[in-house]
Amino acid sequence: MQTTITNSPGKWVVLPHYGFAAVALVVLSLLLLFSTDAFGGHYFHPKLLTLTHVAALGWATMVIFGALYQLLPVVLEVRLYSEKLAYYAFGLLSSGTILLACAFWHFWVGTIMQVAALFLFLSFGLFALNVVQTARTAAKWTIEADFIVTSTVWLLATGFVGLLMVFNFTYPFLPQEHVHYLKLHAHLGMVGWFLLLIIGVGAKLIPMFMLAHTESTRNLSIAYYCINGGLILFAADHLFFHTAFLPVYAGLVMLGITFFLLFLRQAKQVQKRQEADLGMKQTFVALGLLLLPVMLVFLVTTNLGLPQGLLSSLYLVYGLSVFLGFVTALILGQTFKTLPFIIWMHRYQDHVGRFKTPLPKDLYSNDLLRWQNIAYLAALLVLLTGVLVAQQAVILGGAMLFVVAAVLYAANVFKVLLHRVHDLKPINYGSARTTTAV
Amino acid sequence: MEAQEQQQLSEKVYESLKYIIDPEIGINIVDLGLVYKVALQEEQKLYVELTLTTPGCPMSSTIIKATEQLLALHYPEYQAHVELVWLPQWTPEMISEEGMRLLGND
Repeated sequence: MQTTITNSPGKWVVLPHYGFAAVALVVLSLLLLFSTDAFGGHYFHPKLLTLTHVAALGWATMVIFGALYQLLPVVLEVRLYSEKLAYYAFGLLSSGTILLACAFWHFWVGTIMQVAALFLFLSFGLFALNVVQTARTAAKWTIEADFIVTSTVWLLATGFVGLLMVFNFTYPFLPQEHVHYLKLHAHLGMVGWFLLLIIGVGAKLIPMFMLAHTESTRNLSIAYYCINGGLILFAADHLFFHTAFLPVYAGLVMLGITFFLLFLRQAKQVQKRQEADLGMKQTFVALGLLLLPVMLVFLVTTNLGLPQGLLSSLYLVYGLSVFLGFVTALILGQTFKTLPFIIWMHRYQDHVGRFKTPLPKDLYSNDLLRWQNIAYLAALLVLLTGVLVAQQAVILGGAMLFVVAAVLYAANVFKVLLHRVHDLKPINYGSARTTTAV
Repeated sequence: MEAQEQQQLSEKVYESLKYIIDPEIGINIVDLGLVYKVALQEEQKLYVELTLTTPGCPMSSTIIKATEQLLALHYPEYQAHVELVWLPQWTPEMISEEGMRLLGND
């Protein structure tokens, strides 16, 4: 028998991340409007580099940092190691992202970009330290913890390669051309950081939300070794050997993803909660979207003799399908599974049991969320089509829809963040089962 | 207090605890099978043992507080003692028939 207190961190550790990320998504969508001309050629383009880093850092990594400070204690069943480190990491990540975005947009490859890269690398270091130190105190080590801790190591590696590339602009010292390292940097980030982390957290949260207890984590363990094995082999080959085995490494990662999806299918088979809310539906959409980059990776890594123009478009679609596809779709859905709950706890903790309180799902607008999901899916479809056929007008249409989705998302996020308690009524002891509040 | 009276009090407390709704799932904690035990330990001391769906759940302090506040409001003549336990581990099989129905399992 054991009594515990909550392991949740203070709200100021978590909430600024959600606010910043919502603003970053709107900025990203606006930048997209002014970047339609950049999608006609190679991915090494100042505007595309800006978009990618605003998406990867200001939007996705920012919200993941914030959510993880809240979720890490849930997954590992311990308190966060340091709230102070989290504040510093937030300051460095936010300022580093803004500086890097400005530097890429204007292609200032000097001091500003170097300072930005240093801020970001330092932010990743503090975040990784916080995660590792938190994990060290966990009483029970799980495969989910393996995923999360390993993902932070890959985040550091991604940041380190990025840092080297930034200094290489001014002081060329890397033995191969810049684009060669850009591929490594991108895949360490996409697979090592985003994919591993999302699987680690998703493997705990998705069954929890579905009320599904899965006894065996064998499929997750296989997924862990396949994905890491594929990524390590890819990195080593890319740096030292330059063989034609890239599709094999991609195949290993794909196998890992398949085993993760099998784990989720097992959970789905034993779920007790049949009704999925919009947040969960969007999560399943994101998992479906994951298949797109998985298929495209074979097209871009296998020498099929495709025309250069088409290959360039496929590279762009591949990158977009990861950042604006899978990762964005997942965050758009999971935000409304986590943020309202966090706000609800902070606002209503002292009122539960005495007054009728709303539920977390009452804190956001379901209509806004529905239209956000619709606008987002339409935006993605139009945008990817436009990039594939290299039509600026179609890309512009996709960007406009993306602005709509981003504004709806931000409006809903700030509706939750600014939620205030008012006019609470005492519990009416009539019928317990029909009472909608604690 | 007679055993029968204790039993009646226990049943009444279970009914009262149905006012506490799990905020994520939207179903009361009794039908979710989270309340393991309600007992009158000593004269005027009400003991409630409950658990959560997952050990790391951030709801722990909220749910304890909700239970304490509800009992204090509803049974002011008793001193409530609420304990959070992890054994036996909660499983979805502990959900009541009514809970299963509310979750959409007809």
